[in-house]
Amino acid sequence: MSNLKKDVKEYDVVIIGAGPAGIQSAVELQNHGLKIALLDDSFKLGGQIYKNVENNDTEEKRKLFQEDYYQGLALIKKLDLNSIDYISNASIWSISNLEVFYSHNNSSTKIRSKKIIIATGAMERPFPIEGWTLPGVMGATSAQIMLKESSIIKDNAVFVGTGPLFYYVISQYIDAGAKIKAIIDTTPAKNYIKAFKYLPKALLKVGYLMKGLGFLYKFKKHKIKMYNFTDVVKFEGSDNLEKISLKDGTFIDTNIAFIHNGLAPNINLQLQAGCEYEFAQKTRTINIKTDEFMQSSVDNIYVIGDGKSVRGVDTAKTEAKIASSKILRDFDKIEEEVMDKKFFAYTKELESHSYIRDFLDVLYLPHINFLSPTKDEVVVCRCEEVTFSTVKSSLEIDCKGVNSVKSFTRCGMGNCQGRFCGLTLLEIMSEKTGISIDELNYLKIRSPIKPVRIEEMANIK
Amino acid sequence: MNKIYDFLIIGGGVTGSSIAYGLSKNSNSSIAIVDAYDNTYRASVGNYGLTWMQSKGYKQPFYARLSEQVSYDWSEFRNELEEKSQIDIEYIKTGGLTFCHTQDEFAKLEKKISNLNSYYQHDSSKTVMLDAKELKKIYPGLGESIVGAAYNKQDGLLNPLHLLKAQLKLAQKQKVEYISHFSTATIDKSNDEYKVTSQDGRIIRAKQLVMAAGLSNMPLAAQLGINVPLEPQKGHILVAQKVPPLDLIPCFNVRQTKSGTLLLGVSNEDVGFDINIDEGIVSNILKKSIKILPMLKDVNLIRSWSSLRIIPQDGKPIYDTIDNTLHVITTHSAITLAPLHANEVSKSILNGKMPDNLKDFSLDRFNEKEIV
Amino acid sequence: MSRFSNFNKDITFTFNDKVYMAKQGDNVSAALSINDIPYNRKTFDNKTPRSSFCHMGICFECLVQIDGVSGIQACKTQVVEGMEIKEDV
Repeated sequence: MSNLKKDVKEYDVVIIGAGPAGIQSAVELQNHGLKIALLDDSFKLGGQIYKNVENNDTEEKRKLFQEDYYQGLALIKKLDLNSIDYISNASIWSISNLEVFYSHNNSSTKIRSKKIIIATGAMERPFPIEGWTLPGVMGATSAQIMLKESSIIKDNAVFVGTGPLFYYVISQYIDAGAKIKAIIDTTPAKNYIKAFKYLPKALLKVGYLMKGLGFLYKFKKHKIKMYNFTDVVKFEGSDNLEKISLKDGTFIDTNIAFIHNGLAPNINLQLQAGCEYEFAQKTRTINIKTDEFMQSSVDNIYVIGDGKSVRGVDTAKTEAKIASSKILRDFDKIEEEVMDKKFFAYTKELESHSYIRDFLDVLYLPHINFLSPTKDEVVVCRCEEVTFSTVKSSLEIDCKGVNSVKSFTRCGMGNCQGRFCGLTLLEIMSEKTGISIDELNYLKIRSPIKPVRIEEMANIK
Repeated sequence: MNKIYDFLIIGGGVTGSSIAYGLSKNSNSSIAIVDAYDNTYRASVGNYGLTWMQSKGYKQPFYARLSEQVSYDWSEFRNELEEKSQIDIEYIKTGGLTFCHTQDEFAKLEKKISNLNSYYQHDSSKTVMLDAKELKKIYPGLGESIVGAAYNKQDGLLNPLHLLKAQLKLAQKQKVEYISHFSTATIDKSNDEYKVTSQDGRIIRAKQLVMAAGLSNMPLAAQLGINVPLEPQKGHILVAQKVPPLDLIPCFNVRQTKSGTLLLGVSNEDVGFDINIDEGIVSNILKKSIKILPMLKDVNLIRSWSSLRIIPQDGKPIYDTIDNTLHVITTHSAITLAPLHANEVSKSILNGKMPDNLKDFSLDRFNEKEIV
Repeated sequence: MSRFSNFNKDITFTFNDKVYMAKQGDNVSAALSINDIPYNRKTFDNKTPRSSFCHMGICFECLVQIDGVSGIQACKTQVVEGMEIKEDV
């Protein structure tokens, strides 16, 4: 057992992550007489989608950023920061027996809670193609973060990828006045055919679809060079990106590429905490399993929003409401009938949010070339510089699973602890061994989920 | 399947693969090795990677001498494995240290060392006690609070994952059939063969069995009426970031791998089959490591591990052959003893019995041995 | 590249002893990016140049040395006036 310190701070609920799901949870749980903590590793509230919204509340910025961004402001305004403990710049590195360990200002603290809500959001899926580790190649969220936090745009960037977020970021870049060199769209042609059967249901969310069409229209209007249905991309350069080459021999000169291969749940904390997971074939991501109240396989740990399964901001907020109402009921702050009523209403909301999901998931599932490497030189593990050919050699000796590959190649042993290679390893493993990907174990994730200075870890407060 | 192997090795860890390599090197018999899943306990991938004699065999002369003997075999074994597999197992005879934080600790350790030293054959095997002044000469950056240490120049370190990889690679090169995702559920003996069935119903038949399945040796051997008393002992190992070479003489608290990674350890906990990380234990390991090497304060910890050691009831290895066909090989020192397993033990398996010098390690000492 | 409607205070910092400009509220990754500084570290094993990839604290490519301390994530650190940033070792 951990050393029990008498002065460990105790909470009723600790919420990890202050994006839409985390903030919504805090809004639901506050002012019911419960001790609530909201921990987040950024400077400001909002997560990724509402990043820096409090500082972007100006007339000029409102012309650039769309209405749904400012919904974040409305949500943040509902928070009563006097009734909860909000700790920003808190990097959570372990959950153990309902004790949460976090690092803040170079010192680590342990707090205890009766219930934990994990709302860590999504991360960008790995994009294992030749040259993706070159300086100048960045995740498309980088473009969005630099835009929202610092109003920076990089001209002559090339955007490479697929997915709703991909088009959204490009659209924002255009609105901000950026000159975009080219868009290399990697959405496979056959996805349009596959997705067609989900279109009728998706039309129930016609507004969303119209927004998507609006993006495409904008790209055409600004005459941005588009390369569609791309299935081979190579980044080239010596010390940084110099050009991008395509299958037919086309070269595009650029020093900046924003790439996006779709989103996956950011799950290292959930896995370290012991939550059961599953591989979702539809999205080819690892998702966290929960019951209908969002409780994971670990008692009293709830997982909601994109950190459970990527389905967007509306679903995230509704899941926050579901988890919160269950928690309020558990603490006897609301009556059974009230909870039942809420649950019924929220379930209906969830269903409504889901209409567009199948369509988007099928349409934007990456081409297999972008899930599992095709060339020996492709770097699979960025941190340890492990190539596809090394992974293949390891599989020739032992193909028990991705943890064996990790043992023999160092894939997944670096700072990012498998965040940018774990899914790729599963794809490679499944392809080479013929074992169905949903039968494979993922990497074993242990604490700390982020590097922590030894002195800091030795002296936890 | 209808094939009956000459040998089936149950367990694809360091022990099993040492024997797979050794058997296939010394005979043309048909050999298969089965290994379970990616996420089973696997002491082979959760260990600290030292070749160590200085603390082994306290009041157990045969074990002390065995550990001594094998430490002189390592260089040759390393050369053999590397030449054949082209895998660098990163073995260096660095010497090894056991640090003492108090004079009391020093005195106790000195007594223990003197017992162990009395068993060794060679003077060069003896462990010496060094005071803080002598210690600082060989361990730059030593913390001020350390009073002394035990030092044995025959101890060393290696990369246990590469050792496993090399042995598996060579075994397969030498025609051993490696069958993974095979979790042994039952073993039946009938007439001249053993029938081994996996959890999902696959069957493998063999004339002889080598049980190298770590902690699972206990329940599996029990099916054949053989008592192999083993206890799990939990140990935490912590992995810190890579730093430029420090030329550290390894101890159980901190050592550096060839790739630059710093490993910190260790703990010994009797908590059954629990492999959860205990943050309190982690904190204690870190505090102790900082006392030994203060520069660790500013190094980042990347992850913690815990694994289960396989501890025979009296701590000594188990080497036994029952009925000329069932070979039980279990130890908590599979890394250190790998040369022995690949050579002498493998040859003995081919001879159908364990040699006289390993008599002390038979199951007889546990007083129960019968075949059903 | 450019900024638009950012009226925050100008601040100066150094990278590898050279002076650069940034704005209050920038994180170090953004500050290096806007100054076209191509990379902030080289990998341990092969000394391959790397720079920020995810910009949200989980890829650890953006590591820099700040005021003498190594291994700091640039994307999670705000630039302050006079900050001394160096390529990470």
